[in-house]
Amino acid sequence: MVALSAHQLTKHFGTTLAVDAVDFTIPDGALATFLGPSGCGKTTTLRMVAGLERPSQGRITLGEEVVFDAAQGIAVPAEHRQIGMVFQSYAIWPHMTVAGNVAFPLGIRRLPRDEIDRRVRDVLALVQLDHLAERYPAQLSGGQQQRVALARAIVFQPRILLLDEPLSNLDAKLREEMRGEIRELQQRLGMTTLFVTHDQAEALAMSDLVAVMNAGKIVQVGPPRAIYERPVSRFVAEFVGWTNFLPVTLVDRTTARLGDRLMQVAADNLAPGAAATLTIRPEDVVVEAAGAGGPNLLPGKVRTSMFMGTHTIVELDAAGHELVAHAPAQTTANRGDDVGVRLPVERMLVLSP
Amino acid sequence: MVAVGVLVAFLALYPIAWLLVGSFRTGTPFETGEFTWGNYVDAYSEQGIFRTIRNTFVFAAGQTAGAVLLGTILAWIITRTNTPGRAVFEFLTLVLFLFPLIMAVFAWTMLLSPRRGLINIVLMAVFGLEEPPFDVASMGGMIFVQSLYVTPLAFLIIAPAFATMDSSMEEAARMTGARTLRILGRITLPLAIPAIASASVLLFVIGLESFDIPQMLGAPKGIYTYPSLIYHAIGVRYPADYGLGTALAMSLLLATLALVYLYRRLTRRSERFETVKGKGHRAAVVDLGPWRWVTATGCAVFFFFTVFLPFGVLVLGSFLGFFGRFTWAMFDRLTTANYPRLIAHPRLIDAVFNSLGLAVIGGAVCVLLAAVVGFVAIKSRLPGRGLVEAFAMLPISFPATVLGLALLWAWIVVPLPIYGTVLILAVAYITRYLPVALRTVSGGLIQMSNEFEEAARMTGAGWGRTFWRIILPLMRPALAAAWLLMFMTFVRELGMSILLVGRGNAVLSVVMFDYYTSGEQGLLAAASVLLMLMILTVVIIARQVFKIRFSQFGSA
Repeated sequence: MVALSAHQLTKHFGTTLAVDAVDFTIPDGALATFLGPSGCGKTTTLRMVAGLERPSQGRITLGEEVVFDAAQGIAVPAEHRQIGMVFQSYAIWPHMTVAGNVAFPLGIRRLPRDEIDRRVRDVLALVQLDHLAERYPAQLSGGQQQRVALARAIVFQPRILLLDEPLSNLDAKLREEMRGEIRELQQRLGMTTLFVTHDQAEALAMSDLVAVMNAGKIVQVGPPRAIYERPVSRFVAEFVGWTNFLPVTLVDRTTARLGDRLMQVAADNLAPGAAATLTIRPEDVVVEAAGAGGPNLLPGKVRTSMFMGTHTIVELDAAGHELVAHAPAQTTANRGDDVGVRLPVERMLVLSP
Repeated sequence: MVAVGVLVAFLALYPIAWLLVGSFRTGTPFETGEFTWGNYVDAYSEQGIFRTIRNTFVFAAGQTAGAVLLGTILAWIITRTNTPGRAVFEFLTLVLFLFPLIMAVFAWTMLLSPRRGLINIVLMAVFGLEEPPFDVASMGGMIFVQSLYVTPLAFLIIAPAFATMDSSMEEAARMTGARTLRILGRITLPLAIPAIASASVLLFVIGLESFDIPQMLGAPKGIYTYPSLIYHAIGVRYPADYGLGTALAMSLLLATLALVYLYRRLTRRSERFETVKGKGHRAAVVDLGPWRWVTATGCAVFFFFTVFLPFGVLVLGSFLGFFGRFTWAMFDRLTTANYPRLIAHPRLIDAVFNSLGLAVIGGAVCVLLAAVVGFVAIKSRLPGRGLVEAFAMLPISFPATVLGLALLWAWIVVPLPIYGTVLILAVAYITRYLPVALRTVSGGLIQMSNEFEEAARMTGAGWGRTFWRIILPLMRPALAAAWLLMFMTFVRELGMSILLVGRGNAVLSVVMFDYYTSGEQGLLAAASVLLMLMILTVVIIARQVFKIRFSQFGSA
């Protein structure tokens, strides 16, 4: 079942096109992420779903209900959409206690007092804040404020949950903790969630579905693994994780020319004779002893080698090209060493230049 | 640095020290006196003194309530809604801010006095009333007129709270299902409470200190407040009752000192109210739908009654020899005679020159001093910088009448030719308004990165050169705004001037006050029109040249 879908969703701010005819559908219970650099239109898209920003064009459907349709003049106001939202700044009301913040949505729905108390208690227990119910927000840490925001957003059992860069105000360690907690909570409640972030690690770790956005368009949609392993463009490859690029010319569907060398590739998507870019993740580059034989082996020289604990980062000069390899931790390589650099054909992608 | 510290301490403490001495001794400043408690005893056994105390508090509280209510509504409409014409209304708030009180009083007398007031006449005709419904020369009238014209001060403090509010606070409420009115009541207003509380305390102090309206509307009817009774004791009674004046001034000073201390505590506490801030964006505008025409009409009516109608009445009055009762026949008596008469008035010409000189040069000196003090207090790491700032800020709690009396005493007893000259007015204005200039200048200084001056220091510039070549030029917008504010304030100052002006140092506000008391309506109206045109010209030029925004006048 589809929980949320958008059709040709467009937003102009004056003459600038912030969101350009975007289509997406999110299945019930999934956590979908809009990932992209700042200014790519991801937050605007989220705010249009929320009802806080009015789309210039397009249609938004929430479950069975059309909440916005420019053509039919339908625009359900934000307060009637039954959507929970966590803001980047959390927007915890500083003049109300934690319990007051969480009870607010229930008061609007005119629930009886004891019902409100019970649900506030339950949801605060869910986010492990039951002991802080009577505190004021100014007395809470960033992580605790984040939980209050989350509790307030889910307490009225919204149809979907929107998260606008909710982790960006937390320090690195807390961010990783909250990442896991939010994902666990979302799966436990089966809450359809739309998440916006510029942090690719967050997107990969938490999502069922990632939509990479750039310049107002969705450039690729898929499960995190597919986005990481099979990016469709240089932009996606580069934005989602670090990667190496090599400029080549295609000879045929299985061969490409890199300088004066021929490389085995799998290029079904581009015509022979075309210029192309080979991309390979650092962890897929294999550093071997010099002089080994076999396909796709480039002679290399070590520039720097950095031991990272879990692995060793080796920066190489491979046949005149800069390459970065994440070699196993036990690899010992010193500046100036001659090595062999193997680029396994099944780990390489051929992209448009 | 030491010199600056000594100077600001001297400016603030020297006159007050003499006031204190004066309140505990017999006789006038011209004679030697002996220690006594008698001044306080006499002052508080003065007939009607308890009525004066009550009047002072009722007036201060009433105008606070009125101005804070109007200022809050106006601030919300202008900063947070899509009401059409917001930019115009914001400019009109500035005009209202600049509207000299003496002109406001005069105009409202012509509108609301029982027999002659235009509004009374219209209401009596429309509703067939026997008696005029309003009398401006009453406590209600005083509160009404004062409220309208101090509303911009409340606006200045409250508007930034609305404008910089994190709108995701309200969006979060919308997402939980709350509608506009509930969001306004439960989220927006509570978030502005700290600013509204500060505005209330500050406005209350301003009400206690106010001289112009209690003097012009209340005193002739025997409704005194502390400042007008102080003036009555020194400037009206013959011989002047210095004992009463100084004892009342010291009492009033203690009250304002306590309240300003409370204000500082309140504003400091409001910082604790802040939680995590999002991106530093301006608060989003609330779409009022069709209600935006209601708010626009409300604003238009407000400014019609506070700016356009009073100014129109003044223009009309300036073309009449005597305003009298409003009738259609008065349009047959129109004359341009007032303007030549005004210009032929030698005391007025002197006063205009004195006022302009004080406003332009005195204003510049005040701003420069504020810049040095601000630099020392905010940018330097010098020991004692906090004390320098404290002394510079102290006079913010000196009521004009109190400081006027203190300076009068302080400079009479010194054998220097300062009393009775323009110089004593310059000292008075600079002392009293240095805190206001400092606040405006500090806003610019706090925003300026320390690295600019640190870079200058690293190139080998000493702090004097750093101040002149780096800090002052970078502060130009804040300095221009502060100077403009000083210009406007100095040109209109009455509470101190009226006690310090003698034969040789007349200023415009005092001359206009004299026209008011002696019933020279035509001259007063003509002078008002000229003054208003002068003020507006300077404001519009300054806005164009220096790109000054009204919000820069806001308090820190």
